[in-house]
Amino acid sequence: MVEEAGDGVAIAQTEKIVFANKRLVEIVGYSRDELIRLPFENLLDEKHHKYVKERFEQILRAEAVAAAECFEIEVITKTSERVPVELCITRIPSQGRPAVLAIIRDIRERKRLEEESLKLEKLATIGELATMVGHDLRNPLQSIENATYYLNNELPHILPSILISQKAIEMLQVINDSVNYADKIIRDLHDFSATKKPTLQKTDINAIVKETLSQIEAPENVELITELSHLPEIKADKDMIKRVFLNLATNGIQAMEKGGTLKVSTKKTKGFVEVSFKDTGTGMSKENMKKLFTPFFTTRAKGMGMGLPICKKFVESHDGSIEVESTEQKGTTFTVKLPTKQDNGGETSGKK
Amino acid sequence: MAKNKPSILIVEDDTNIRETLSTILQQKEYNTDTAKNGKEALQKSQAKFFNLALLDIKLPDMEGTKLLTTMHDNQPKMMKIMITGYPSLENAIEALNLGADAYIIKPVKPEKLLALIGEKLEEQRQAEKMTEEKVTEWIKTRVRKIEHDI
Repeated sequence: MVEEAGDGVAIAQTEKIVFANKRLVEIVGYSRDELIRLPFENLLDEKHHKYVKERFEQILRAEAVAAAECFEIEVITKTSERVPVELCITRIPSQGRPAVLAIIRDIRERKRLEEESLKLEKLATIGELATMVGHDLRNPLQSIENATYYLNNELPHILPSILISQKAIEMLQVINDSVNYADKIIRDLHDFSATKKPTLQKTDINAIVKETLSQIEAPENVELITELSHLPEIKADKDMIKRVFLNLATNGIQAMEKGGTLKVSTKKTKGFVEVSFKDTGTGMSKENMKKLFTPFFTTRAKGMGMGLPICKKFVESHDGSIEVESTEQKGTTFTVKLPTKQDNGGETSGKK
Repeated sequence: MAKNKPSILIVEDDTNIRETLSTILQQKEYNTDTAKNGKEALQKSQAKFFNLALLDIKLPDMEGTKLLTTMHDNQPKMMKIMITGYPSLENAIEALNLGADAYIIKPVKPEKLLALIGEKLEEQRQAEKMTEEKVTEWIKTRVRKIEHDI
């Protein structure tokens, strides 16, 4: 019964393990023979090592049967991996000598769920804050926009055009552009925090690629190449997908300050339509790649770090995925995979 | 001439938006009046005819939707455009169901707002023309009937 238990079970005497069940062998990766000779403390992470060892010794010394005591610790596996576990120890008599019975429960799944819910909570907080800040910023922006519009129209009336300096017109344009940029930030925050389901309609992905690229003004030293394969029409939210493509293409171009090539290609794979954006830019470190889709992570001086999280959110709302490959100094490839068949998530426009 | 200018009531609690909106609408040859809360808006709209009202959805003394329903009951012919900083589909649907003629999100480009105002005023003119034509038609028919009866 103990042998087949769902949790790892070990009995230790004088700090050495004398019994280990099948599940423990699975968790720690040592063979049973290796485990039997292993001091128990070798399995403990350094943070809890001292404390757990002390408790062990106390239990072994104590006369009375102590109540079970549980700790959340990490065990170090044979391959030096750290596995979060709940360790419960209690004193039992074994062959006339005191021994410690240890039950080791693998809590990786529980930890993962906890982390996930923490992340969701964090995002919900960001969302609330974003909505608040967004709303408060909308009013002053609206006034600036109105006032600029008025001045733009009024200047030619009060002054003959020859007296309006070019600089003044440029400055009005700067105000306009800045308001538009601030506006975009507010929209990004809103898009990221809102739970919007995609409005699905039959979509030609190649057409969206072409439309997106036609809107992009690439600098002269950047070459845009497309390699489009024949694709089946899929159900997708055109606006969302276009936002994703626009974002990935712009990111690619911005990664090539010294020039290069952005190749956008599409292909059909089993069950998916794939669109990749391959740049020959600076690439990124493995460390940065991990944080890529984390909101507010950015390596640029300008920008809030909302672009890729929004892309990921939009693509995932289509049951798709985004993959990244990158080599420093060589370039980065983002691949968007969209399923050819939508099973769930999203509403088909036209019918409810 | 000034009498024929369409008049617009701006209901908005933010002073700067109220003043700047009023300024650009006057620049475009509209007569404007402003109200900073729901109570003032109701008083002004009852005292005087406005072709169109711009309504902020959040007001200090009442919900914009409440103001909208009241105005819709009292001045059904006045065009009503809701402006909101809280974009959501539910808000939009609610506003339109309660009798708004259009719904826009802050910040709105002045060009866009002016175009929308122009469009709604044109709709109003068309509707009035239709009514006029109908009345004329009705009178004509009655006159013909009376002539016939005589």
